[in-house]
Amino acid sequence: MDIEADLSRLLGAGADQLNIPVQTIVAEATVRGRRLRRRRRITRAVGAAAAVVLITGGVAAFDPDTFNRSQAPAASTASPTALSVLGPTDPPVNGKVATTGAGLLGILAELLPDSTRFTSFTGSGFQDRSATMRVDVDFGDHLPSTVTVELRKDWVKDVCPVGDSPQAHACTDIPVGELHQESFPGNALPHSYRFLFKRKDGSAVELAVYSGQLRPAHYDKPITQTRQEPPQTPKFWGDVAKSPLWSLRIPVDTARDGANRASAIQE
Amino acid sequence: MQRALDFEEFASTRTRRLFQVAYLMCGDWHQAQDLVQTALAKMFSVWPRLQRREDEAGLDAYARTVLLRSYLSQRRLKRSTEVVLADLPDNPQPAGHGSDLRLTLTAALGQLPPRNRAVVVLRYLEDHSIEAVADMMGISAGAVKSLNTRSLARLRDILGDDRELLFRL
Repeated sequence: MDIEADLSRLLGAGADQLNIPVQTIVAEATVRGRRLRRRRRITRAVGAAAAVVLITGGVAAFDPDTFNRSQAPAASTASPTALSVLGPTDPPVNGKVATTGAGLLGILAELLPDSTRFTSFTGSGFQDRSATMRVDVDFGDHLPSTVTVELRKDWVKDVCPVGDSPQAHACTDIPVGELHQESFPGNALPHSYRFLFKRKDGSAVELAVYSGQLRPAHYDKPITQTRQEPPQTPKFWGDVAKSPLWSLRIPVDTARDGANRASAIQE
Repeated sequence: MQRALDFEEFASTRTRRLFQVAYLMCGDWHQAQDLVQTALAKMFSVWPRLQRREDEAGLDAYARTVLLRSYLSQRRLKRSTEVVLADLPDNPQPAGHGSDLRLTLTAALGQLPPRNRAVVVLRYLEDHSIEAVADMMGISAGAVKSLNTRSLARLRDILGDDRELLFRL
């Protein structure tokens, strides 16, 4: 048997078994990226200032326009907002469309009490493959908490290495059809829950609820704690994670509702 | 007109794959997380420029390249705390018992030098061409071919008789 022919399959299977904390990685990367950008800008500004000092310290004539340009902080380019993911992305088939990040919000709204207030939404989706979103929920106590949801079509099997290796500690075997719950690990985050639910059809729902507002793009403080514990009970959120409503194809009405909510509250 | 991706959307949708690549290259869950965070952080710091210059495919290629170079650079600087498993399990579990699959695979990959491992992962997990891998690694296509051939031969030796059993899983 040719090793090349099997290596792709083997590597793919090995990779699919990884349990990956996507939201944590994105949050940490954003914090580090901001720090890096700020350092770069300071270095650039210092370099420019030094150059100006060198030039003006000699016999060269002083040109105020040049000086002003050199001293000016780098202009921040606002990243364009991504609004086109909010609504249905394709013609409905049997009354259903592909789930986007906003679609997930529509599903979550159906699962939470009607009085729930949603703020600060962001989300995205890969048609019929995965969707993810982050939103703050307020159950009327004015203590908003971030909820993140990720829905994936494809996982193979969560298999962990045995023994005492870091990989074994970091990995969790999650049986199909059983809800897995864990407290959110480390990283100086306030107490939070994370739920993983793997279904028999091969899809998986990952839901995390924080005891504060998660803002990955905020440089110094990616999370602002608003309470000691996440709102509601773990059982409540477990039931939400296990809901059959989470699907990569959702009714048009749900998608539309999610899109309307998302467009009103997007960050 | 194609809409521009914002950073968080890009990162959220690519992290899973980048992590898989990083994990198979470095063999360590925590180091893989750090590598992906490093690569994405570097992209974040220049995101407006990247957005202007690159389409989605370009952004993906850029992410792979940054990830790869971060990995190779970490290895060169000897900062890695990776624990390479010296021995493969004596008896991989029979078919249907996938619990050792990842361990066996990472242990086998762990015995390859970093650049060889990167070539194997990029070629056989990511399905990149020799030329694309050469471009990402900043080396010639001939050098990639050579690394690839040597890596496969080494994997054959490492896996030995276990290979047939492993590939049946």
